[in-house]
Amino acid sequence: MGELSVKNMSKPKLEKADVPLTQALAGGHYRIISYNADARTRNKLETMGLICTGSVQVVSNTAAGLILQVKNSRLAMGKELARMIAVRQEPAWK
Amino acid sequence: MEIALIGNPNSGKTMLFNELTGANQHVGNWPGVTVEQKRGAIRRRYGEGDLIDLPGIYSLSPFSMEEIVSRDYLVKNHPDVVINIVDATNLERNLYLSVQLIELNVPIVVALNMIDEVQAEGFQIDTERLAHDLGVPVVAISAARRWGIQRLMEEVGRAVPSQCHELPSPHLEHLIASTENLLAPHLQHGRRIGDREARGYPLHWMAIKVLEGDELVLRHLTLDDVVIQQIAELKAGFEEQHGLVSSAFAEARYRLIHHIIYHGVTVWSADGSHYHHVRHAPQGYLKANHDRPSELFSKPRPSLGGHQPAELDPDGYDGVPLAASEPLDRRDLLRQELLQHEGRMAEAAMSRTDAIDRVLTHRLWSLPIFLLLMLLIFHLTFSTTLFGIPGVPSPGVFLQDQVITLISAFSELLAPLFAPDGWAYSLVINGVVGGIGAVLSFVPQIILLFLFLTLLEDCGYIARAAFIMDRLLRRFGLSGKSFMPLLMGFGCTVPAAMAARTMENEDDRRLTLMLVPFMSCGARAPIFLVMAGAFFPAMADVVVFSMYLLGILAAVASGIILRKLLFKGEFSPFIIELPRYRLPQVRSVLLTLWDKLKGYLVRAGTIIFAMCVLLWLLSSFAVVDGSLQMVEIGDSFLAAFGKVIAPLFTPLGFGSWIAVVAIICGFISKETVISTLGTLLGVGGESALGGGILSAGVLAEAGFASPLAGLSFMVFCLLYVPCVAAFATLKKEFGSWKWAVGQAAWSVAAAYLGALAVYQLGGLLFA
Repeated sequence: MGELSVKNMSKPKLEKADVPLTQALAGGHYRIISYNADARTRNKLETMGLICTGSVQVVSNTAAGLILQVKNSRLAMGKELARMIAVRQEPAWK
Repeated sequence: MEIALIGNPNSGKTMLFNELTGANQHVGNWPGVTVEQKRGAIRRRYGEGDLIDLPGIYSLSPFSMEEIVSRDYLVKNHPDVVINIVDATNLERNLYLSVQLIELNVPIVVALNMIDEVQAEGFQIDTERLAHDLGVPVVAISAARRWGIQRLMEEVGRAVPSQCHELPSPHLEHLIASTENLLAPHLQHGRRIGDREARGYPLHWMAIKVLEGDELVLRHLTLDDVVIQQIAELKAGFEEQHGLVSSAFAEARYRLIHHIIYHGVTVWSADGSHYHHVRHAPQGYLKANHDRPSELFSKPRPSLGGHQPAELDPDGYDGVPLAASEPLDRRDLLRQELLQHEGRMAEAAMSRTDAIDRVLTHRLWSLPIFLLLMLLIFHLTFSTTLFGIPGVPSPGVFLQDQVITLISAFSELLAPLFAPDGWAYSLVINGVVGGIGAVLSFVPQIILLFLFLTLLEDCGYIARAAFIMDRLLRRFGLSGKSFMPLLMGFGCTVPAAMAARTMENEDDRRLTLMLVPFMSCGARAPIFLVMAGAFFPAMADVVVFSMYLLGILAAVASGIILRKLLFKGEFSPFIIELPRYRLPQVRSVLLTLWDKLKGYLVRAGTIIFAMCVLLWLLSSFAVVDGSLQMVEIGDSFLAAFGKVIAPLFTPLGFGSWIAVVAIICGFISKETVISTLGTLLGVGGESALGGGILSAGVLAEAGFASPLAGLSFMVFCLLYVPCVAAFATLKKEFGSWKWAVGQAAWSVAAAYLGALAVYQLGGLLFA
């Protein structure tokens, strides 16, 4: 396993196509690129399975907040929190 | 033997606890912390010992109160065995806690709960393989169907301390090793965490905790500044290259879990049509000195499909191991297969939940549905005319009437035992039976309200309700999780305050407890009905309704102010797991209800009893001619006290001792406000509503000079401390007198200022 590839994989650079999770579309598959959150919030997210480079599926995105599918569990989060998460769209495989 | 039960919220922990202990549980607080700890003796059929129910948590990070409490318990009390209950339908996320528990090197048995649901969906989990890879025993159970409990307890009897895993991140393992080297010389032989420790914790674990910045461990290690500096440098060096250490741990743990699930555990559909990839693990994940040889990891499963095992990069994308040697398109293909498989699994598991959620969390309908549901619950609990049918009370009111009848009968039964005018009669019948009776008369409604809430919670709706309400409440410094307690406050403050227990953020929970008493409870309604009827006969309904609105306004204003003054803690992000919809289990619901009821009854028998006796003493006695004598309430200590402080209420418009005594009696319960007024005004306040005899003319004698004074009185009654039971509950929930008294002071201040504003400003407007 290459040292370089590990680094690239675990710390992807922010790209132009990356959007805050608030702008994610319902039904879309996304990959978490980075957090803009304090350590405590970040830890909470990671604990719930939202790790950097991890994938999420957006089930719904309404004014009330977002519902996400993460690792076979369903999470609901407020918009404030979603704004702190940068994601990149993944091609839908299904 | 002491056994601790730990697991994620919604993993069926309470159900397993109830099954293992039956009703032999008692609830108590941990010393020094407010988080509740349930302890129960294990039923004989399952063995012997005490079971400790730890809070439902997602991890053991040193960030949340409940997590710290659980960790402290595990480290300080070192239970003989830890049962880690894991939701088999959500294995990956649940194992995150398991991996952290395994790091603790305590004897652990993993209870793989809800295995029946997994099987019903056509999937199987290879528990043997899982046990092997985790390095701890795994027993598949179903707490709901009582499967596998006996086997679980057999394993508990045999459990040995777990072995730490090696995290699949070379950089992190290197960092841990460096930290171990720094720590080792500073740890004397036998150095313990905690003073009364009988067992030491391994260097490896302490190194991880030090790196995670765990205060408890740092405090007990008492490292000198040089070492702390060296560790800080190590951390800084790591973070420069690889990001936050805590994030690196989280990622590495999830990667490890991914390996365990996707290599070690075979999850395949029962018909074998699609099975999970079985591949060689690139390395053993248990520490080398583990007694189980790591080569077992590479033993391939018999292939069910056409998938060939491949050498994989353990640090692959998303923890999904990908062969570094594979060409890119092949890697994409592999990833695609995995995603497809995950998708199918998720689909199968979520289809029913999805269908319900499409309606219940719909962007337009969710709120109306929620409000209707709440209306229905309140209607069933508090309405005097069920669905508008005259003469048919709601179940709540019907049951309450039965209890009141029962209490009256009991009172009549006792009456002949005492001389009718003696002090004993007065104490027992008026003081104790009357006071406690008033409190007990709310038991049916409290139970019903809790029944509905428990049903909603057990079926999984409460989490959705919190989500739906979050946006609105956020504007007032609250979060969605405080909605349920606040709503229940319209029914009764007591269960409402208890419902706040589910909130994980301590600041949010305390703020909610501060605000709950402002929601106008059912007992305050009679005051509004009588006063509005007397002073505003033409628009009584509008006045009563505006009282409810004012209560909400007071809560909102208090929320905004207290957030600025007291609870400055950082914005607490709203994230909540939406559990699958499940049918509530009758047994579990009943046990939960019994638990709540018991708590309420114990309070009724202790603090409320004491307060009743005290108030009776004050309202029945006075010093006459130099000796203590029993007197009419008008001449009692209470009346005398009322006369002294009455001038304080003159600016509010009701500066008479009668009104003041009514308010003081209102501390016992709000029902007594009207009955006290009735008694003191000599109109016989037997019925709670004063029988409509309390007219504006009669009330004028009590010092209510104008309708405005009546309105001011209503505002005061709306806002000040609900009752002794509520105060006692708040004290218990806050876990300190300081907070409870603070809440009471805040309420009284709000009541005084509110009533003052109404009377004075109203006087200016209508004069």
